[in-house]
Amino acid sequence: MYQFFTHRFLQGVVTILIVSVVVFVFVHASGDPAALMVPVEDATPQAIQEMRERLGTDRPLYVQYFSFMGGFWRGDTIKSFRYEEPITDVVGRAIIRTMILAGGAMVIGIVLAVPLGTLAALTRGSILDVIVRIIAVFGQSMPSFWVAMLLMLYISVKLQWLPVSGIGVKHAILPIATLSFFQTALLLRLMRSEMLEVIHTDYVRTARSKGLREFVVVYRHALRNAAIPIVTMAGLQLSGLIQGAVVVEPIFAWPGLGFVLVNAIFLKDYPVVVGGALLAAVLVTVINLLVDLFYGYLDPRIRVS
Amino acid sequence: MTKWTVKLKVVLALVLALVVTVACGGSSAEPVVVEKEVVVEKEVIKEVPVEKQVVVEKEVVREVPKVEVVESEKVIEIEKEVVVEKEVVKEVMVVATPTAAPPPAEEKQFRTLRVSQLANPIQLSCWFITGVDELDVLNHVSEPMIRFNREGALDNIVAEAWDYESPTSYLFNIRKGVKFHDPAYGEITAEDVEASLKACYKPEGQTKGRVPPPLVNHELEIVDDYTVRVKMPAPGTAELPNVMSAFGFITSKKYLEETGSWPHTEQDGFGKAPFGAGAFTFEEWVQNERMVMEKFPDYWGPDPGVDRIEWRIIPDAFTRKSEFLTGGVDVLPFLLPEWQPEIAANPDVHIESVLSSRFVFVVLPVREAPYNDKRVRKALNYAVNKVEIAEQLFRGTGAIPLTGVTHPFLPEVDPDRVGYPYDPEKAKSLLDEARADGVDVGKITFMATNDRYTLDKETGEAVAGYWREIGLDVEYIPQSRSVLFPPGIGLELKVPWMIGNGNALLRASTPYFYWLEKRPEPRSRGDYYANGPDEWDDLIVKLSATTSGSEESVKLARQLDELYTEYAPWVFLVNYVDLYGVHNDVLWKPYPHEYRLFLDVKFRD
Repeated sequence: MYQFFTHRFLQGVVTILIVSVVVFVFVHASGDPAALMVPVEDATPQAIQEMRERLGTDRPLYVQYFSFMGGFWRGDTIKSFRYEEPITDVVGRAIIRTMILAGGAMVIGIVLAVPLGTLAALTRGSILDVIVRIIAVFGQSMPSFWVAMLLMLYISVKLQWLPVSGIGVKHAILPIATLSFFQTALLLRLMRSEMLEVIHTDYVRTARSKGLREFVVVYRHALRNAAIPIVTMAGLQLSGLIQGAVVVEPIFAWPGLGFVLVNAIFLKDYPVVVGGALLAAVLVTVINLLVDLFYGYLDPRIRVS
Repeated sequence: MTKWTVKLKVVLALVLALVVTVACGGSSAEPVVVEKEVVVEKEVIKEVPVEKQVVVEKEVVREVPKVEVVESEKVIEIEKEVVVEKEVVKEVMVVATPTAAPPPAEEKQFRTLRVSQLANPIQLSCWFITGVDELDVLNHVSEPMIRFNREGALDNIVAEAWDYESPTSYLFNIRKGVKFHDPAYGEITAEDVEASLKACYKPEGQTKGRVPPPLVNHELEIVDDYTVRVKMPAPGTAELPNVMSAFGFITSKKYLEETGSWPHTEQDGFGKAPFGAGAFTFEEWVQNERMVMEKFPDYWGPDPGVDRIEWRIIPDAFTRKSEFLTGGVDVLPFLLPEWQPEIAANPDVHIESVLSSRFVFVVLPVREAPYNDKRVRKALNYAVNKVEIAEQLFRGTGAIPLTGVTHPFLPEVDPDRVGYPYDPEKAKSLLDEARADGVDVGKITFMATNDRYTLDKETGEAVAGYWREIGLDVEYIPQSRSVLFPPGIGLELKVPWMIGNGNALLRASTPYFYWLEKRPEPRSRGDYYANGPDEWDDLIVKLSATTSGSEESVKLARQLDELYTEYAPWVFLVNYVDLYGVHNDVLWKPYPHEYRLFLDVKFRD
């Protein structure tokens, strides 16, 4: 287990390093923040050069990279170009809010997918099964920004049941619903297929032949086994939800990581973009590591392989 | 193994539910509004204007407008309940965040105006102005000496009176009794004005670049406690009203020093918590979410019609529109022309429009071939159907055709000027003439922004299309302003490119100063791009020294307008009409200078 953990940990470190290089290079290739920060009327070459010196973007790229990374991992105060606040403050606030959306979507996804997927599998070919499959296909094929706009248009604008945007419990419902749409569809399909596989296994047949009630057969024998991949997938999908939040948050003006990163990208606020992406990468890597470890714990074949 | 799975599932669900609950609640510092249903297992203190005091235990008596004050000996948790009366009598209970602090002494009934903002400002100081987002907010907290009104005339604000003494000198009388938001800082005096203006144009700031050099290097002489003289080292002071109106905000010298913002930028605390003597006090800035200001009761000027302004930061256009249609914001700036049918169909809202100070045009590099041939420049103008752009692209309400250099709302504009009406045949004939004389028109590369102005990319596409219609080979390159503007304004481009001119530039001389006047050091855009005859520069200097709207100003501006229109250093496109969505219960008219000022806004009773 120790070897398994070390292996996965090192993989995570390498992943974060690669992410840091890729993000840093691509962000710097996207344009000159100094040119954007100098007012249009004042954008003379000299003024832009002065701004570059102030921001430190006049130095060679590799110097900027090592300087940034050194400061970032040491925990130095690296300030946003734009907000002149430490990026840990800017990104830290945002990442908590993103986790609220991602966590909420995850809970809804599991709560809906497990019973509905189970029922669909048990009543295969029924109307319920067809409906569940249709929902699953729609949920996985509709882009989240479109779902977000539809929900906003009908739930907020037409019906006026929920607020359009902002921060608060009511305000979180629509972004969570948007994010959970894909999540639910994915888990629904997985749950249904896993359950279909499990209910035809010998041990379930044996349980039935013992005369156990159908509920007990399904709950104790089938569901518990079918749910193992769901737990794994749900953990892995948490990182997907964080990515999804990048699209959904700006639409609902929910100032999470996605909102902050999108703004920072438009403003070419390199420290926030790179810092945010790095923190997100760390978060995703840690989640994946935990899921791997958990799965390795559950299934010895994985840690052996 | 299955036990572990189930346990983990349960724990995960609980943890996530807990995170959602705590974080959602915790992230919202403001009170949460609920509708009537409150399970009261706690003791509740109700506050309404007090007529009598009745002691009640373990129950809440809801008699509005009667008043009860409940006193408790065993305070476990206190909730504050406030009854708010609006036009339609409706009870709303505001459940405060549980706290052991005593409730406020008085109930306050706020009338809050909510306005949408495009972006989270970087900071709110006059020395770091990058766009109107900052200025919209700052204008309400810290006021300028003078300010352009809706008619384009100057109102005295902190200045009680001012006098144009000479081409290099202005005298300002400061209004007496203008109190700062905190009594500890007293009233505005000449020392505050001096420190504020110097701070606004400080070398490490960004604003200095927007201000003509003579004004950046001004000297301020304190004549007495309430009189200052602004002296410039050289003429060229015509922009002073613009500068004073747009970029010079007066605050307390003491506050600037205390916040580390002046004389050296140590912490720049002002930018996060602006302060002044304006109609509103700055209360709160939740990054990426909102900025809140409240009415200043001791404001020197007319009482604002609202108690509080909340600037809501909503970057997404669809979301802004949805918030407006559902009442989440009362005023919606930057209304896109294509939204008009939807807005017009809603009986609760209406559209306010104003002819903007901003126009867009194509800069032609007159020193470069083939643009050094006036016939080519005129042909490019005749080829573009400005009326069609205004009617189709801007839906007939978002813009009007631009017919010359002088902004159409200024008194100096000639109402009969026609500019370059759409005439493709004339354009072709002019090109043929030029070609016959050996001019190689060749391929035209044309650049425009895709992220700066309303429908800028589309306007550029239209222009390129019209040019192709007259047989020109056009390569159109739309790109980000961060890519286009640096070489454009840095005097490096040798191809036509599109840009706008606006933002409180409410004097006839302004576009000449920024775009057409030839100045060698530092080299001006007029010298690099327009390269007009030298003698016209004298006219520009004379125009700069006139009083706006005076007979001489009108005469000179019209003369220059005619000369430069005929000279065609630009392709004149459109002047924007700024559109705002406004809720019907809000009485407000927009300003032409693109700033959102809500000093005289009213709610309809």
